[in-house]
Amino acid sequence: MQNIIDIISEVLGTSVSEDSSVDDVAGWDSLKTLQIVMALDEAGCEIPLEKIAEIRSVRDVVTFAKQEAR
Amino acid sequence: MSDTIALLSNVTIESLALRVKKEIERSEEEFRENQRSRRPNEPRPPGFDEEGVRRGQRSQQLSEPRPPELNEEGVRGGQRSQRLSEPRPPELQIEVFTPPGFDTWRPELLNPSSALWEDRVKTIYVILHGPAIFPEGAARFAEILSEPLNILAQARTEHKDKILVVSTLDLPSSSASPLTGVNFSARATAHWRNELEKMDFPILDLSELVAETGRERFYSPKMWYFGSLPFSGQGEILLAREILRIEKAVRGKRKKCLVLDLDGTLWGGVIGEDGVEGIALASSGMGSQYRDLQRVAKELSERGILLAIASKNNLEDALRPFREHPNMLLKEENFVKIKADWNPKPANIAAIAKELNIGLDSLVFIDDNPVEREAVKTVLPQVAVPDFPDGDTSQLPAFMKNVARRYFTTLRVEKEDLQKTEMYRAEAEREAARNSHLSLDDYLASLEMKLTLYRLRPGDRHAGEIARAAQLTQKTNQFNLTSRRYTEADLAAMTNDDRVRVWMAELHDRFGDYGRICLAIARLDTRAPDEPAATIDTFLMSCRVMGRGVEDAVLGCVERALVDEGVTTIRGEYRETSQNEPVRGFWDKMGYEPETNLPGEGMWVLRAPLNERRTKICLNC
Repeated sequence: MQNIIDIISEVLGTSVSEDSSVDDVAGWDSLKTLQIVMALDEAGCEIPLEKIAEIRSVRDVVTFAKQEAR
Repeated sequence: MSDTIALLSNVTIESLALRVKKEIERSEEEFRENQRSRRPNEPRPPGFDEEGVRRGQRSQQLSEPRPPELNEEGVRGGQRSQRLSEPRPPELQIEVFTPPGFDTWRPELLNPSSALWEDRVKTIYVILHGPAIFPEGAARFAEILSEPLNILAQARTEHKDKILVVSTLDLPSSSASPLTGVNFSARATAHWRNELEKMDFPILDLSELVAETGRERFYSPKMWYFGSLPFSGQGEILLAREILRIEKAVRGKRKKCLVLDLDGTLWGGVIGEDGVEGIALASSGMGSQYRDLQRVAKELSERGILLAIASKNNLEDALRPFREHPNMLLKEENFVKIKADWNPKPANIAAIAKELNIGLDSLVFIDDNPVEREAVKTVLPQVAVPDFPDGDTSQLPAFMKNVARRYFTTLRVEKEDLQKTEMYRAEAEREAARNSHLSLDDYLASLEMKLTLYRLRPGDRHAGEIARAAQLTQKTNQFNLTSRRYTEADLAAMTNDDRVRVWMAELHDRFGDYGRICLAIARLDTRAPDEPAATIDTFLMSCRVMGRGVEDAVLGCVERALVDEGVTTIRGEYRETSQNEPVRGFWDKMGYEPETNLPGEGMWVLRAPLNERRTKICLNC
């Protein structure tokens, strides 16, 4: 999970926590979401297409990634 | 100062732009890292920063005692002036720009007032995703490609100060292809490339990148369906690096001379010990990896790159393979300087630069021996010294190709090839003259756009309208004048309110249906009965249809509808967000007068009678 948070922080260019969301991280727009999913893909952590649009927070990303891993 | 590159595409490109910026930063860090590692024992100067690094280093280098092997006065003098004038690598100064909107590359190239033509932009990259050009298949490829080619040719003719780099197309074959018959995808990609070559466009070879990587890795269906972005992260990185490589070539930062070691580099083994019969060098099988490496060097020399030798050998031994070995591709006459003796290599390399009268920063040095590489890096930091692959010599040809690409790419080859280029260019110009002049208006007219504007009324259309309207307010960021986000309940209430007007617009063109792409909300104000007014509370448009004059047409329809209701004063509102920069000047452009203009927000006004808005769109409103 820390790995996922690190990847998100790297893409957003700022340090985020599990509680961070699109509303309180400046500049987290749909382009950034796309890049997060892309970076996770590269790291072998897949989020299904259907879930991408639902991403509103770091917690969402972690949840969706975990569901997929199971 | 020309320090900006622009990226244009028929698919989402913003992500690639960020990637290019990242690659620029990366190469900047690499550069600094290199500078630092070359003086490992010296402390960082106080107040360490970008400038500090360079200044600090320069003064350190100047005050350094002479390296003992560089006693020759001329050499040291040459070296010092090199160091003083050492430039930062060119990438450090590049900005990346993408025009707003989606798939706007054609209108941007045709629009004389596009930001592309500002002085700061030097190079424009047009990166095209093949399948998006041929949604219906490639059977009519010549016809489909003629318009984009005309637009490119014309943009270049009209903007001679810009360098337009155009990508090749990668187009998978139709999965229903029979084993016999015509492969239209292959013909289409070949046709596109032929035409670009004829017109002498610098080419970004996208299809070659894909071929080297494999479609599976280069593309990501997920990104495509989520964001109309076809490339995977891996694909984007490769594209970004390719763009930087081309940018270096465009900026003329190519190296001039390749200095090669002999033993272990041009052949396997040691000529002084193994003899001509004993060295590894063959036309096939074991030993042919060296011949393949030589082939790349030979091609460089044919393209005008100077070759030189710096080898620790007896001259007589060093020359024997060139004269006696049947499988030497490189010959003595391919080299402008041959230094084979027992002098330190840095001294020989400095002498090569001096004798050829070129800067040390024009040299690339290849040697399999890490000690020699380190010596050259330390004494002559301006010389590029790529790491040699250790362990597996089967990597040598690929390494050499990489060196050729990285350091010796040029925009075009001069001299003998110039004639051919000249011929092609004349033909392309005749071709362009035959094709009628294309203006932005002609282009827009050729799209055969049809716009339908309709008012949302309570209950007269199915509920999906309200849902789409709410979605547009929530999702539209770039072309959104006020960025007010409404829920379905908010919008349902508005359609029931007789002081509010809500419109949506649908667009259709000869390529297909774009669906409901525009939303406008106006609030009527009848407090002053002699001057009925309306305020445009929301005006937004999907970025998929930006750059086509759709906004002008929709606004015209909205204004007419309001005037028909007796409104004489229309106010347009603007609220700035981090993403709606593209519409900052919208009301002004539409002829509205500023009424209040506070930082970040403003109210603009237009009074009846209104002028007809000119449009190339067939209106149904």
